[in-house]
Amino acid sequence: MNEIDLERDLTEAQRAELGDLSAVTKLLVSYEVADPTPSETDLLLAKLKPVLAERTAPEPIESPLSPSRAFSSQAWLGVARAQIEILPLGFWLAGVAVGTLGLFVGFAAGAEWLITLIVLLAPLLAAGGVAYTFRPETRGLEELERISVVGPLELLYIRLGVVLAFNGSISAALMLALGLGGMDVVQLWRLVLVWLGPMIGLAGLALYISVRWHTIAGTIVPLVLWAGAILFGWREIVARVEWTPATSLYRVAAAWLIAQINNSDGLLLAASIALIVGLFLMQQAGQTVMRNRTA
Amino acid sequence: MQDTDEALYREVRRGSEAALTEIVHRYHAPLLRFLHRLTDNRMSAEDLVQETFTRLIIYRGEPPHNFRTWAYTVARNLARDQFKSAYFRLEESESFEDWDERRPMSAADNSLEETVAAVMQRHEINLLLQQLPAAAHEVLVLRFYHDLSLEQIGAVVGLPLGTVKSRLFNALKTLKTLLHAEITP
Repeated sequence: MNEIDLERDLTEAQRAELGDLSAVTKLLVSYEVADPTPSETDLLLAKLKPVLAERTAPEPIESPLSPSRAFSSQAWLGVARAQIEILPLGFWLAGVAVGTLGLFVGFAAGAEWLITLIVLLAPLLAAGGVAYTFRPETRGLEELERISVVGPLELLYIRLGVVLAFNGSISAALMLALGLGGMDVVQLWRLVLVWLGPMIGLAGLALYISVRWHTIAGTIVPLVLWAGAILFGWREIVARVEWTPATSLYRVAAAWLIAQINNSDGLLLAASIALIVGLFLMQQAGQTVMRNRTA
Repeated sequence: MQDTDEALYREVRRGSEAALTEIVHRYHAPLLRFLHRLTDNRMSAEDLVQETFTRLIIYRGEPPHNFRTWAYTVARNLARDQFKSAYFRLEESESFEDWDERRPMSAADNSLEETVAAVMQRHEINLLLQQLPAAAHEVLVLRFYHDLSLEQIGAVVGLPLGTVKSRLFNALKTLKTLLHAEITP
């Protein structure tokens, strides 16, 4: 066995902290495991040769997403169903909890609170969901994806689609509740854009950073950006609205947000840009995944 | 000149039994040792090695640029999947007896006392290493026993270089502490 000098991987400070590692090295060296015998290797080869023969048999395995079936909705749904089963119960419960909270807030406190909640929380939920879904533990499955008949890029987008569809459906349900409850204080298409833009923008950012670097950064960066945007918006509200101690500043802020959604073209433009940037980052994340798979 | 692993693997994909034989001869022992150390179960390791090679053979995607790193990645993730299964946890409790069974004593072996002592010592070391967090354990095994660079280990375990470095440091630190506690009761 090659004996590795473990200290060479350490920094000066780490070496100083660990001190003499000779006892550890001695322990590791003494931990020997048996090599396979030649007959064990022959037996393994005998088991593998039929697998090789089967692999090189003429009929190729048809991918459920091969070009001839690329537009089969059944194939896509089948893969999506498999992804849904992979996601843990906690992921779904968190989304349902936020949806229920939204409904509760909407009916208990009024439409402006529900709209505020949708606009503020939907992007966070999406970014958090994406970062969670693409955390390193799940990326460890990549070699299984390699041998899967479904390509890694398809899996990435299907998985992303499942997360966004789930989070989107929660916000859609809340907006439906707005409409059904007669709480039509906002133009729906404008609300959809203001909600969807940041949601796709932050989800794209979370995905790209998680895939390119690390899921912790993929969680923190979008959250910090969004928190910064909220703080900036809050400062604007406090500076611009006429507020007296007799009125609730939060209620004034919510009313201001609704007025902006209904009237501000700048806000719509910003949401549209966030939407485009988010889609671009998702495409870049796909390219990164393909590069990593072949690296 | 000896073919590279990647060239051999390309031949395997074309159906060459000779290439498969060569690649199995190159990787059977290292992968078995790696999986044996990860799972601490010889029989599981043998099954996992077979499964690893099977996956490598049936894979139809883009050939990897670094076969060695990829082979370890497949093996490591299969071991992780197995470790998560309840079945393995049940099996693992029998690993020591299992290892003993797999190494029948022959006339060429050492004396009974020496063999028993060696087995006991190995078991003690195992116990010590198994106390390391799994993530630190695998980094240490890949670095120390398989001479993978820290960058290659990062590719195998899917983590950035900085995290691999800190896991190696933590593994050594924990191991030293455990060893010290073992020596000074």
